[in-house]
Amino acid sequence: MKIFTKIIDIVSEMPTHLINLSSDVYNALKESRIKDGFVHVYTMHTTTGLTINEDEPGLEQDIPKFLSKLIPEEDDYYHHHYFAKDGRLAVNAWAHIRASLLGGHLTIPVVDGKLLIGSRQNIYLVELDGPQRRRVVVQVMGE
Amino acid sequence: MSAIGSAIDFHIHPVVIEEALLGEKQLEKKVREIYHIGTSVQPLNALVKMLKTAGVSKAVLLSIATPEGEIPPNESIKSIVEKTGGMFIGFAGLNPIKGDEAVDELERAHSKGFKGVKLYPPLQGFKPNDRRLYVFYERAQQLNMPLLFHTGVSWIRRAELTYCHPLEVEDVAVNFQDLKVVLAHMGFPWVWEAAIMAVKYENVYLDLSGVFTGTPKEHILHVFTKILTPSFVSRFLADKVVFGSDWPRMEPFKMVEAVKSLPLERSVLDKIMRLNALRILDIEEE
Repeated sequence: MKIFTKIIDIVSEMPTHLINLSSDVYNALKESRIKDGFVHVYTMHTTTGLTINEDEPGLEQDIPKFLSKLIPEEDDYYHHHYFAKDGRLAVNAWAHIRASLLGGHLTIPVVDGKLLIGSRQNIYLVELDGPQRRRVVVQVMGE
Repeated sequence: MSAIGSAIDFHIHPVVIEEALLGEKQLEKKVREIYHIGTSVQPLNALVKMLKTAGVSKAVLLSIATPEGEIPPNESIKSIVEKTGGMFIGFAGLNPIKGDEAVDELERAHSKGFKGVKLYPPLQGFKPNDRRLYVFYERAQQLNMPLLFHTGVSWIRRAELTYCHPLEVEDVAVNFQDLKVVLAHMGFPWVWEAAIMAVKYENVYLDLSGVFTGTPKEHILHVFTKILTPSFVSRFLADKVVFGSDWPRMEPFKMVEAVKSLPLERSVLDKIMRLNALRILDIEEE
């Protein structure tokens, strides 16, 4: 079995938004020359999530909006205290919780050198506490 | 234009900016050891995006001359200021205790375009009222270079809180009446002492950067409506407070949102968010 790893390095644009990574993942798969197996997409952060959904501008606004309604910023969070490890106050529990709901990894089957993915399905990184640099790992495994 | 739309951030430490660290691992190590900053290194364009998201049009980048050297180096701040087309204003990190040598460094910083100086007495190992510093203060006053003094809570372990009290700076304010003195962090938790200094001395200002008691909204509300009152702020401090975030210890847009939520008149907010900073920095709005 071959394993190919690529890290996508991006700087997000806003506090909360969806970043379509589909073409980056396709390019990594192409570069890997792997024909059959899996692509594993993994975010290296605790305040971002990964999701597969339709590439539609309304949905790209709805998903962050309803995540915010579900887990509001104005609430009592145990996480909001002086966080010695970072030398600052932690103030983003809501971003961590939203990220937990979304999950931080995706697996997509690869058949005949192509992602076995629905025509409406796109791969999104969901920024939940930006803007900042983000790194997403794309690992292709197979033959 | 909205008050928030053109905010000036008076307090940014570019200590985890790739371009400021010049790719030197040793420098990043010093940042971790001295400042105890654990957040990840970011490219300059991430900071620019953070500021734009917050509606910040200009920001002051601070260096500190620690015993282990300038962090980040003044030269890297100069370089960032030069290549970002007016978005950033540099405050040099200088050690004022070196007498005439410090004055020479101050003049060099001035000629290189630095607009002011950041001083951190408990970290740099001096008391603001040390007479040996007077030549430095005198020259800063002549050059119209504001001095931003750290006051209030410090998360730097070796910076003892005892020496962070805003009244430590009173002697400077009294003896150099034309020197613009900015007390960082509203002097928190000695907010009243810092506020009264700003009320009493025409040349003393406060920056509201930093968060110490909760989220930015919780902390800013606590300081401006529980410790102080909106009425007091409007009547006594409207011309004396400048906005700041203290990034990377807090994100600018979270601070902007917090200040925006204060029950203050728009005209007062406009002064705090940008007009007071323009006056202190002696710059025109573009």
